[in-house]
Amino acid sequence: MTGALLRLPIARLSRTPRAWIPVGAWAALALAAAWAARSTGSAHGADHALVGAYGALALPLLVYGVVAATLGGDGLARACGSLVAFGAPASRAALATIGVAIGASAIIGALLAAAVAAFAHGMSDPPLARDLATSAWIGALGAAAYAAYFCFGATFGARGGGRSAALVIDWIFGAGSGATALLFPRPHLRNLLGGAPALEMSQRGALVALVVVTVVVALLAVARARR
Amino acid sequence: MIAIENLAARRPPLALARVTCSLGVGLHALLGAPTEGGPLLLAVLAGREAVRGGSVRVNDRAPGDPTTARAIAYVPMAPPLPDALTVRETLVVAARIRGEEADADARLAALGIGSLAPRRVRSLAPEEARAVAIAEALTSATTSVVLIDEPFVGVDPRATNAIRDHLRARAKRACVVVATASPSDAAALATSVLVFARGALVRQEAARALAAVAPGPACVRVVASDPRALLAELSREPNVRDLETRDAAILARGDDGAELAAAVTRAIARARVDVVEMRTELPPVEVLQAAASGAAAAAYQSALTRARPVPPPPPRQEPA
Repeated sequence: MTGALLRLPIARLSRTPRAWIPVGAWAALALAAAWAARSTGSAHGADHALVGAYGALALPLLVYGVVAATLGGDGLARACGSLVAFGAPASRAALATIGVAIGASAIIGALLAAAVAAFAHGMSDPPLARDLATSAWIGALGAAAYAAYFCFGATFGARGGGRSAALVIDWIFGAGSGATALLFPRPHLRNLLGGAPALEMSQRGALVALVVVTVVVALLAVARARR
Repeated sequence: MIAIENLAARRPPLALARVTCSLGVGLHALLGAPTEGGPLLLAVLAGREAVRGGSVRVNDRAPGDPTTARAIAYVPMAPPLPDALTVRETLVVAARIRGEEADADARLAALGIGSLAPRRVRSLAPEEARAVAIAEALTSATTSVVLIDEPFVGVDPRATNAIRDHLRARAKRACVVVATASPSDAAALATSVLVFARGALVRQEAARALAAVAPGPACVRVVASDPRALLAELSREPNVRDLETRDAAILARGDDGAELAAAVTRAIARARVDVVEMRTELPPVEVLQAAASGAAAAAYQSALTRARPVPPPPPRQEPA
């Protein structure tokens, strides 16, 4: 049954070219910022491009577009409604949809992070191969966390309007360095990419926190979609 | 298969109150306008609306139970279908979820809509989408409960005759429940009819007894190859009291249903016409509901009073 449940969100992603326009636009922005960092000859070009345009702006908006495409621009429960109508358990249908959103976002996030690191690689950055690998897994994890977070947001409001609220809330509260910021993906991703940590949290702590945020919001989204 | 006891449910502005009935294998019609509660009862049976009081058991389980959910096929007026898939893929996905063989093309062809198979669901017109949902519900091998809201309304015309045949065939081994506002459809299709009024079940009848509930003259609707010839022969029948043509159909009315049917049959034989369609036409659902709840006379009196012209007031006498 799992294969059948995955088919709809994958088809939404692959058969809606219009949904890829914003994703392409945000990816282009991140690459343009990386190219600019390289052009200025910055010694830590990769760090600047990843913490700045990629982590703070492009990745959240790009994942927002991927989640919107996976859900067909609707709320999570409604996006799974047609599968539930055939007798699929609502929780499994929601889990499959969230899984596709997380998987697709992680792949795109990883590829884009690696591309940004390669474009903006500066003299004082770590060796290129290691930098690409590290940027890729951090990009994948950050994108996965944002995908789960936006799927949770899509369980609120008519036609998943809570997704947009989640984006704004992450922007406002996640940008700080206080305890409230720890609930959102933004400060942990920033920390892992080499930016300022929230509450002086170590990078290992940020990694664990990002995984916890991903799992918790995904489970909350499934629980809300079941109701 | 379905046991309902003192059911109360609510979907504003609609509500169901104290509905008690049990439905087994066969075709059951919930008769009433959409606002009378039939579609809401279907949604409750499908587990889409919460039970607020009483109990509902479908196959001895709650409707929301995962095992039960796979055995229920529910087609509301706007059925949710997987927008990004093709019609063929939709039936394959539905079959995988229900745990049955997926022969999508054959299932669509059975309802005469095989040409829709390669189309994307989001490209379908509403009536095509409904026909696809009904095809999925009626041709599924594993469903034991089929719930359809108005099976002939807003459906691709290519599918209507096949839907009628499949409903009857499916009802031989499953519990098929349709909500309809058409007494004629209910009488023609169903084995039992449940008349709903204002959220209450006011009467449960065998379908053939429905005509007896109906007040007023009997009416037979005939569509024939040569309406003019048939009209001429019908006008010679003494048991036909009144004749009316509506589009291609002739409506013949008489005081006694059996005598009227015999008269129409004789007229058809004499006129030597081919009959495309012939069925008993029942009065509108409001009249049946009123008759079922014993309020027909009151409603008639009330309508009569409203229809009577108000007499002009007497001329005022000028004071001397």
